[in-house]
Amino acid sequence: MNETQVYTKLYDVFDEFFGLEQSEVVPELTADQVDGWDSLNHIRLMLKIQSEFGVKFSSGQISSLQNVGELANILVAKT
Amino acid sequence: MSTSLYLDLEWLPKPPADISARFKALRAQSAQSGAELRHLAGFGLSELQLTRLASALDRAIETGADLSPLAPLKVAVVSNTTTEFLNPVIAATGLRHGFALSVVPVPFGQVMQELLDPASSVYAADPDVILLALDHRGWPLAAAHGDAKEAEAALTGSLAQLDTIIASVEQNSRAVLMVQTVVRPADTDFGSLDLAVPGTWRRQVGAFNQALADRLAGTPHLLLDVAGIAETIGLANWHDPGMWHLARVSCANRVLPLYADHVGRVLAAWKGKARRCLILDLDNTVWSGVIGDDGLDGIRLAEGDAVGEAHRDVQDRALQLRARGVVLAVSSKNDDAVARAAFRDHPDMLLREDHIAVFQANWRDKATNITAISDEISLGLDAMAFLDDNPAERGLVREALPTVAVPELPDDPALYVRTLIASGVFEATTFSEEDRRRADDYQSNAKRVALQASVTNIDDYLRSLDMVFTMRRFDATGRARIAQLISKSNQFNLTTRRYSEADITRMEADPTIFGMQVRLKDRFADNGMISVVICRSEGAEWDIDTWLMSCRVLGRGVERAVLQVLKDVAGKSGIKAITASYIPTARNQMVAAHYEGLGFEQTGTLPDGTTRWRIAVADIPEQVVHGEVTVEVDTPGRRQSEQAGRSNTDAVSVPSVT
Repeated sequence: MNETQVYTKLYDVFDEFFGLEQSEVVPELTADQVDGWDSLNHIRLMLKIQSEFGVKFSSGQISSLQNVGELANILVAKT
Repeated sequence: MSTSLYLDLEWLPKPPADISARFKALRAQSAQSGAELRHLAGFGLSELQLTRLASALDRAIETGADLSPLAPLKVAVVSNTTTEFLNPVIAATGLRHGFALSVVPVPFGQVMQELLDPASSVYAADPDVILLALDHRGWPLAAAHGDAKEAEAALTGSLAQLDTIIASVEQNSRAVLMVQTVVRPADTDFGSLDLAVPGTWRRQVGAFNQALADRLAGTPHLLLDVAGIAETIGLANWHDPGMWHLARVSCANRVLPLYADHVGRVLAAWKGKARRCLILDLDNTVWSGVIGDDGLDGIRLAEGDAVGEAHRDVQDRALQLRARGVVLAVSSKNDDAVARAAFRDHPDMLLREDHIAVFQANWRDKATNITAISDEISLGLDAMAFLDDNPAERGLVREALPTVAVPELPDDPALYVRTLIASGVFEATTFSEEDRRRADDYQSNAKRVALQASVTNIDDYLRSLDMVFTMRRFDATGRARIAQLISKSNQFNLTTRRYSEADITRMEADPTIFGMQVRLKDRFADNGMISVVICRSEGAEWDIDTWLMSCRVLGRGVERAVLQVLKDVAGKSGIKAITASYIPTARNQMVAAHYEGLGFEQTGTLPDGTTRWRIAVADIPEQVVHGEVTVEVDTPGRRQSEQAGRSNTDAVSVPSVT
């Protein structure tokens, strides 16, 4: 998948989880800036993204992600 | 064979496509109803969906909403592992089992402090149930490999700890303990040798679980065998090492819905909400085939026949459940005498009439029959489970009687028993001599009971089925199936005239014959070709030579859709009247009043009992059809086709081709 495709799919997940608008899901977005994106929901989010994209993250990747841009880069590389 | 049956709770209906929107709507709604929440929990929801449902439930409990008929229940989950993912899933799953369940938050890893200190937050919350959810790391079970003494001491120590916990809970609260068995790690110590060397996880966990079950037997406390669940789906699916390292969770999030459903079942059984009566459909459930059409010799249930054996397994399992105290009943769309003949005379039947408390074989809707069964044996509808291969029957019962447990069934009858058992509707927390005798106490005499007025608005249900009828003239594509229906149908068959494929081929080209094949699709399934009608023109009249239908789609208004099309096509073809015959046989009693019901007038009775009927085309009323009718009727020589459809419930008038 290219970056645009990855983001298109991510919009839906972020909408479902946090009710975010498309324009809010930008590469610089971090968990601190999103209401409800706590450590539990982070794991739920990662599990959901794994199943939506058909990929598997390592626990290292899950725990060290800095922002949405980094997540998207991993997804572009894996899909 | 896959584990998805269990992990995706496939005995529950799949969530509707708009489930996300429904959750969003719930969030916006100020007042929640218990029935609505329970309805949503009745689908096979994922962990995330259950978590979302749990927040709606939480809000409802917080705001003091009236959630009846759900029973309030407070559960504290005490664990050496993180339970934050599990807790909301348990709460939402509780809805499915009739509870408005709140989970008391307990600090992670504080097992003994919380349970031994009378002033702990667990006891302060005054829960009804304390779920002791310890994994293999939570009991002092580890021992040096090969050291039998140490292994024994570790086991004794763990059980002593259990005794201490039980004593403390009994002293400090009114709560009932639910203790889970230990799931052994997926990774072996040696391999096959694990079973032989003292101190291995395999031996320690096995011995502990058995001792735990023995300890709890005869006490008011409950056993939750998660080790059994993990075995069923596989240890490799249960354990997720990554998640342990990330968040100290004991099992993969993917298994949480199943885990929680088992918690819900045990709670329900404990509160007397487990099912106590199994209502069986007959055709294609208890045996393969349709006895009314295939005959006593035509149904399959013999050893050595793979399909027959699958259905025989259903019977075998029904008898095992009966031996456990589950009452058996029958609800079947059949002629009573024909259905009973199998129970009396078929050599391969395991079930006999005296196993069945109430035997309802008739042509009424099953919701009405199930209500009659419930009244007769004085067990509530919430004590009933209904097993039927036909998705539309299941859908009707689920909609009309939402408290009846209706497991979804897969296409393959070999998996019927597995699915029924996986659903856990007959979970028990005790088993006694009394249970063993219970089924006999229900005077199993295959009684047939009178039906009250229909319990359900069938029209609403039919509308919700999204039925699409497709009518076509006889053609090469349909030929084989038309001939098969003509040779097999005995019950809904007005004249029982048999025609071969060659006969059908000739009819296709015969301008004096109007042959129509009817297909039916609904939201559950494509039922394929389900009805055949043959009209022979005699001047300005049609005589209905053949009208038959598969009993599988009985009660759906197929005959009304057919009549509407006959009226329209006849009208356009200059036909003024339609005549018809009902030729009685041993099997087609059910359609004796077919033409009368459709508004035909009887014109005579022949010596052999055949009744003759007639109606003027202009007198045929517009038919109410709950679905869309597509007509692909083309006249021979002028190949045209036209499609028309309407999806409302007004009378459908069908444009036809001249």
